[in-house]
Amino acid sequence: MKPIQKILIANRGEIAVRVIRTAKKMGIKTVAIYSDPDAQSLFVQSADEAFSLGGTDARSSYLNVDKVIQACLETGADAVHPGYGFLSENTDFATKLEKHGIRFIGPKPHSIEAMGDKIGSRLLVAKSGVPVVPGYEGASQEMSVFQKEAEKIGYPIMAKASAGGGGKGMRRINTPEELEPGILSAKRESLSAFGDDRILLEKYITNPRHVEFQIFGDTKGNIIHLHERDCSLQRRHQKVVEETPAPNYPSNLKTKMSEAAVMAAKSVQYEGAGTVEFILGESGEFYFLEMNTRLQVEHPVTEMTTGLDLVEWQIRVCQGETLPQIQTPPQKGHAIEVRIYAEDPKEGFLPSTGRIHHLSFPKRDYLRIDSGVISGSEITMFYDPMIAKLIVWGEDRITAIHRLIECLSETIVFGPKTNLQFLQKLVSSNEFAEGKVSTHYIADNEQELLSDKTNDELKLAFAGAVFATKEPLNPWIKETT
Amino acid sequence: MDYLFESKTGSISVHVSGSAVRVRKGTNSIIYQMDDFIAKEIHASNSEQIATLTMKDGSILKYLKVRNEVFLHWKGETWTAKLAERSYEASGQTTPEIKSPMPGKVVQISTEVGREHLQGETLLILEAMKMENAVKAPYPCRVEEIRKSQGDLVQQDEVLIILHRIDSEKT
Repeated sequence: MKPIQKILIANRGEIAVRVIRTAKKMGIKTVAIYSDPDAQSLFVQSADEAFSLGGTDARSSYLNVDKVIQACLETGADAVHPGYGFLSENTDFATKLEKHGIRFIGPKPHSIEAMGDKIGSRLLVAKSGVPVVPGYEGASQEMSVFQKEAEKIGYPIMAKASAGGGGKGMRRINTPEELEPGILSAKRESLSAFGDDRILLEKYITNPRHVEFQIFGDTKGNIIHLHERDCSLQRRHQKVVEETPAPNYPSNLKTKMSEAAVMAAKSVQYEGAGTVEFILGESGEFYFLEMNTRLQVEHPVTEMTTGLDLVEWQIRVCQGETLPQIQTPPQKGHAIEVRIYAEDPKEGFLPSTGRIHHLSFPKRDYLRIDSGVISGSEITMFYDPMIAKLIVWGEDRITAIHRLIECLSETIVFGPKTNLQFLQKLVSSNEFAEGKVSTHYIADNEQELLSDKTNDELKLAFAGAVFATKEPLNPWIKETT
Repeated sequence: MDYLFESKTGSISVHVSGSAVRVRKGTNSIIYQMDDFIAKEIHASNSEQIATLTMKDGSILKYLKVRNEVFLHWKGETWTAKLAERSYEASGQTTPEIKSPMPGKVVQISTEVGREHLQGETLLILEAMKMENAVKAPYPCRVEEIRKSQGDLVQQDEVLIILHRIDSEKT
């Protein structure tokens, strides 16, 4: 296969900058595509060429398949890196590119499709021997059937609305006595919310952890894993902190889970970078959750502990090269990533927009910053308000945590509100240090995580002092004594 | 010197006198001696005018002033204080001309010719002494003429807007 000459990055911000960095290192030309609000962005300036898509919101720009393909044809790009989000898991896009002879740096459309469907992928990987959450999703809605199935699954169980979403129509059922009233109430709620009262049962995992495996496949059928990542700290199913290796994690469990991850990937003849996600229970039972058929936001922690460049691997695999190693490389030290967002934790984490007057990070050998913005950039309402990913490395987990706390406290963002202080509190907690957090941790400790150290009066006193030393006397501010 | 800061619960006054700073919120007031905190000011401002203060406990306070807002970073916490907008209502004024209350710069025009306003609605914003000042309608009115454009520098008592008074027959 001919080597790739020019990559168009069908994305924006931090990940576009990240992909351009590797392409340049490999001597490959890059094309950035951009919407009107992004015209002055860092990623547009970083690429060799830039192509305007017009439009403001994602739908009229980065998500518009025809416009993006047009950009490829006009700039002569022979490959597309989709980043994550946007068109990265869109089979229509991947198929259309193929028809134009443009390579999609990602898995084959059939793999994306197979893993895109929650129930379909569950059945598929279960067939290859990967454990899935025990459950009942049969057609019969008879109470006697539910009772029999619940016994088989084992309590506690979760009754879920088949049509559900957003936590509606869900009931935790702890004992056989709670089964009938629980199911009936879930049915009532589901009927009023979705106009459908079908219920399915799933085993309830107490204090679960979210552990996922980075996997990689080539066109020759080789599939390996590149170790796990623990992403248990989540807020409303959004990952907040990601690390590798997973803390308090026995090696025999790791072997079993990594084998299952590779099996799941093999079930769809996977090529390129992907992630197999598992839910891990307190007593070491684990179940397949889903597979992400793309590079992920948290890939830098894997890179920092293996020394690999996963984007380079993606490009090489896409060119038909064999994986540089067909055995899992060793992992060195510990890496943790946090995502800094322009959002206001005290207002329900609502996105906060506006100009970044100043943005600075400490400089350390063990610190990596992946960012798409600089001082003077604007955070707009049109896209994800991520400011940067901050990734630290340490010889061991405790060192990494100390370094992370220090780097976060030295990071300055003046302009929009951010989650920086929230992140500091989170990674400074004893529970995190002990590696004892589950996916419920943030929700259960929100009040504590949102409190301030410095009181408001002292803050205002500093502000007043700053104004007083910086300003001449202002005649419009009257004495109010 | 007194400063009024905006907060969710209303304006908070901060009085600075030498190194004593008094913060008053409703009937509560707290006094801080800044000398107890600040060791020295380092004039190491870079191109972005980030200023640095060394505190007595060894910590560093960094700040940046952007117009009527100040951003501060201390001990890992970041916060913003925004000076309350001063409003200029020519209350009791009956003449049709709105004159500039001070020398300044027109930063925003919030109306257009022909638009009707209730008393107290903002007509334009004038920046003076790095503070934003809202010029508000002195009575129910319709805008007849706008004499200045955004970005214009104006002298005190220059005519900004000419209004037509609307009698209060409408509710």
